[in-house]
Amino acid sequence: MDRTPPGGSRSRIEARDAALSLLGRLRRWIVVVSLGLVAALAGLVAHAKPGKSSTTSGASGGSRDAARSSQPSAGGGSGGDALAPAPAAPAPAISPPAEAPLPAPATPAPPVVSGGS
Amino acid sequence: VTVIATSSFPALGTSAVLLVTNVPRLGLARRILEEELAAIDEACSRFRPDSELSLLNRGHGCPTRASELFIEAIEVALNAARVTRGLVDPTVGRAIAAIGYDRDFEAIAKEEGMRRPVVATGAGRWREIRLNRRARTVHVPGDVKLDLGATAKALAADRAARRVQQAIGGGVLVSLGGDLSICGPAPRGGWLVQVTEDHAAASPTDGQAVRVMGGGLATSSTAVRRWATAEGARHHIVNPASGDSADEVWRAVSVAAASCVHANVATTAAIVHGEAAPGWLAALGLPSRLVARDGRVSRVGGWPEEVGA
Repeated sequence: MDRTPPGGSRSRIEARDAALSLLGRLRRWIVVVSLGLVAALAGLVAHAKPGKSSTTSGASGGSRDAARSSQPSAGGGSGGDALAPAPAAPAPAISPPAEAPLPAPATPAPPVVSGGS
Repeated sequence: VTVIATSSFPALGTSAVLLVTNVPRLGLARRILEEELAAIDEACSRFRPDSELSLLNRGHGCPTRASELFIEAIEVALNAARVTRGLVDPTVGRAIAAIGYDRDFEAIAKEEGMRRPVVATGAGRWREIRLNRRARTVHVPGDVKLDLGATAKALAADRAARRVQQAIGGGVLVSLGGDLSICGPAPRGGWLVQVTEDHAAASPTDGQAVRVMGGGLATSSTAVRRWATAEGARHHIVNPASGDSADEVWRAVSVAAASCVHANVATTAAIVHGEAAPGWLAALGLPSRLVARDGRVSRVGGWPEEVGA
């Protein structure tokens, strides 16, 4: 028994299969392009709002850095284990000494000089 | 009377002076200081082509790997910019090179009358610096050059004084080009220091003697590191807003603070602040001595009067 469809039907089936194949490819491309756009958008947002990482380590690092920044220290510290944009952390003040300099006689000549260099 | 051992040697284009009360350990103290100075030079020198700073400045805006020390130095510089609202700005590298300070100062001093037009680099660009501590990278925009001159030397003094004190105990004073950091117990009566305009040309009749118990003491001066250009005399303290040497309202400003970094940031900012400097320093409670262009001396924040004055 000949199961081959008649010529007209076969061409219609081939046309349908080709269209379905094209749709499948188109769908895959749409998915790929969408993922790319989402990634690009995420990158743009991350660049525009740096330091807003959603990772847990970044968040804990931020709080630790904020505490450190509030303490005056020689090392200063701009804050930030992760991306650290300069203006994000509160500004620690310039701290005065525990004791102001005391008056001293000019002689004998001091062994150390503080002056411009 | 406390016995003090002293060692001094050239370093970082200026002089290093080390004083310790633990006299027998002076040798170890000096080795530690030399290590710290070598490390800060490798990280932060603007004139060494192989320094981390030079590599970053040649990086064309690409993220650059950084050592722990270099990251700390940049953090300190960013803090300085933040607490002074940009008066002390590490992104003045292009500006200071444009006005002539583009190599070791000894070479610049011999040059006279070259055209050195100001390059306005735009204030506030320190906000564009990105640090990633985890990846240990630094990123600056391609058209920005950093200069850590306002903070790196002071950071080295603080780090060295702390390390020496931890290693040998007793009282320690480190002076780098006249910027002082003190750790540990001071000698009886405090460390005797002459405060003046030029640390290399001081005399007992120049400036004022004080006793310092701890923390840091720094002096910035527009009277030193000056050079001649076709546009007029320039000095090394740049106003980030103009890209030119700061107006010479003050010949010298000396500040005592909790550390050498804090003191040096305050003196540099005060020079840039100009007329507003005394009020700004007083509001921060920083003992300060300011010498105006005409030699008039102002004292704020509890800075002592001269003995016999």
